[in-house]
Amino acid sequence: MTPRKLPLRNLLRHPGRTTALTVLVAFLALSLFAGSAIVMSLNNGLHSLENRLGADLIVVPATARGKVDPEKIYLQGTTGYYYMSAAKLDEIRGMDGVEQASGQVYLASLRADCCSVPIQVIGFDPETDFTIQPWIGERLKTGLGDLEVVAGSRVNAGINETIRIYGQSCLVVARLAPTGTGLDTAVYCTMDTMATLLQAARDLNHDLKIDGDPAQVVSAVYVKAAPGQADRLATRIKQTRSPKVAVIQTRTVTTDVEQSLGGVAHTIKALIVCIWILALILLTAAFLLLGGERRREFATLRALGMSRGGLAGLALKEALLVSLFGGVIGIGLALLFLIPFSGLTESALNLPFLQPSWQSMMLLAAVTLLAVCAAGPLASMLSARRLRRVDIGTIMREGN
Amino acid sequence: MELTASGLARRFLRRSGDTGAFEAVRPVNLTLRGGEMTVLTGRSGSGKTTLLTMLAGLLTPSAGTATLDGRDLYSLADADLSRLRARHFAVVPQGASVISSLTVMENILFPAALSHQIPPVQAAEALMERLGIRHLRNADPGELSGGELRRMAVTRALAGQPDFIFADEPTADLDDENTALVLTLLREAAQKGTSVFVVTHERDAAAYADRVLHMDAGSLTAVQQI
Repeated sequence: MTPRKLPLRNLLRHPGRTTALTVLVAFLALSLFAGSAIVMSLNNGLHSLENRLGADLIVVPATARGKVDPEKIYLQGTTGYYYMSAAKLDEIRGMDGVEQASGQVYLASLRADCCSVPIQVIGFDPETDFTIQPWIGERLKTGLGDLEVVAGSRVNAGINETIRIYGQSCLVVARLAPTGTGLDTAVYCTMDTMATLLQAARDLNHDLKIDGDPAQVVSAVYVKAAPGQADRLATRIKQTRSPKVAVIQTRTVTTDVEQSLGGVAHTIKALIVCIWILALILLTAAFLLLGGERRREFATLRALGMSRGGLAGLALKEALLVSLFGGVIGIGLALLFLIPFSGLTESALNLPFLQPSWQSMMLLAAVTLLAVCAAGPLASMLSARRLRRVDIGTIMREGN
Repeated sequence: MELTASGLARRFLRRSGDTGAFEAVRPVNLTLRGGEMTVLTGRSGSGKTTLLTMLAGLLTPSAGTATLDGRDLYSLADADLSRLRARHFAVVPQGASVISSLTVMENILFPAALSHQIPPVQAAEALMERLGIRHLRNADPGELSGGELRRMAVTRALAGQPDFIFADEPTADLDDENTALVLTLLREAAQKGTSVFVVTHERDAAAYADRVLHMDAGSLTAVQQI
């Protein structure tokens, strides 16, 4: 047994106190890693949302608000369906201050072979679309044909597999990158495919409340306004009739999300700071108590010839090892919690939630481990300093 | 080697009561030489342990010097003094003096590891055999009785054949048979060239000593050369 191996031996031979300290450090690591990962995921979700929402205004039939909160369709992919005549698209397209306008049609499948929950089918016009194609363009090199779909990242179907929607077999030709929202469980198709699916749903007696030709409806019109025209244009669109429409200003939606996200992120950061302060105080107290309890043993080491520096080094090394064990355990537990439960976290927070890449997670793990490995020895510093000052003769005399 | 105390004294401050500072050890002049066993006796609280810890380089004196072959121990930096202690001194402190995470054998060999010397395994085995604790070589010190711990501490001090052994009540917790054995082993160490300094209440210890000192109220009051 060499003095170098003594710190590890001390920890292994006293499992009770080692476990207690390790649990405390693991809690520190877990809070920092999980908290930071959640904040990063929320930020990623918001960035993904901002990148996706290239439109300034989204126009939906006024009746849509009674069925489902349209904002939730855009933010969280909440399934639903509502329709208005495609003539509305032409009307908006002809208005002053409109740079681009494109329609989308939604269909919520009640059940698809691919999914255990209803998925949202989104039809778009490749000729005029400017919100979906920039996003899926990276994954889809050629155009979408009839009954071909692009699947969200969490749709359980691979490329070249088929999924059945209202009895129609649709071929998956590409899969999208995660967005951190319910849109990850949506599939995307052309307007022609959507018309086929709408007709199929109708043939299966599914009441879609569409009057006339299913090929002549839209669920929403995405509008890009000329610079500085968004507010005025929104007012003018709201004033149109047949049908009455609701206008969602995406800037408002993202601002709301940003505010909510900012609040959640601040709360999490404040919690992390509180946990760290509390845990550092507890760790410092624990190391001080342990130092007091082990005074006699430390005095023996000094009597045998260990220097004050060697003794302080021993205490710091023990703290470092505990921090390392605790850090790895805490990060491991955080990963076990974060990866399988990201969907639950998303729905609990009600905000876009997109986990960082594995490289970012590894970097965060390394930073967390470094922080925790600094925190343990820092907390034991006071105890180590006391050990440096300890008068061994006095402790030995305490045996009298 | 020769360890010389010149005017070595120690004063302590009492925090409670109105007695203020008290002189635990009044200026002591003393020389410890290799091959000599010195026994220090005296009543409890007379300053024996304080003198021993100062001589062993473990307690900074309030006044005076302790020099080892001309080097003042307390003018050395802590790292140098610690190295010197590890290499030349062995201490048997009062009460328990174990490293709880090490086995009995590892405790005995640890001083050698600290001073980067070859572990004296054979000497340790032989001493443990004589002291009747060989069967405990792999035991956890927490499982040992007070007497067994004392014999372990004595083995640890003797195994490395240091230049100086400072033993504070090395026979406490021991029966007559083991007391005699421990004193015999310390005597043998002195005969091999070690300077042995023993603080004890044991009356029979004088029979093993080359010199018996008596301490009273912090002062050396009697020296008996045998």
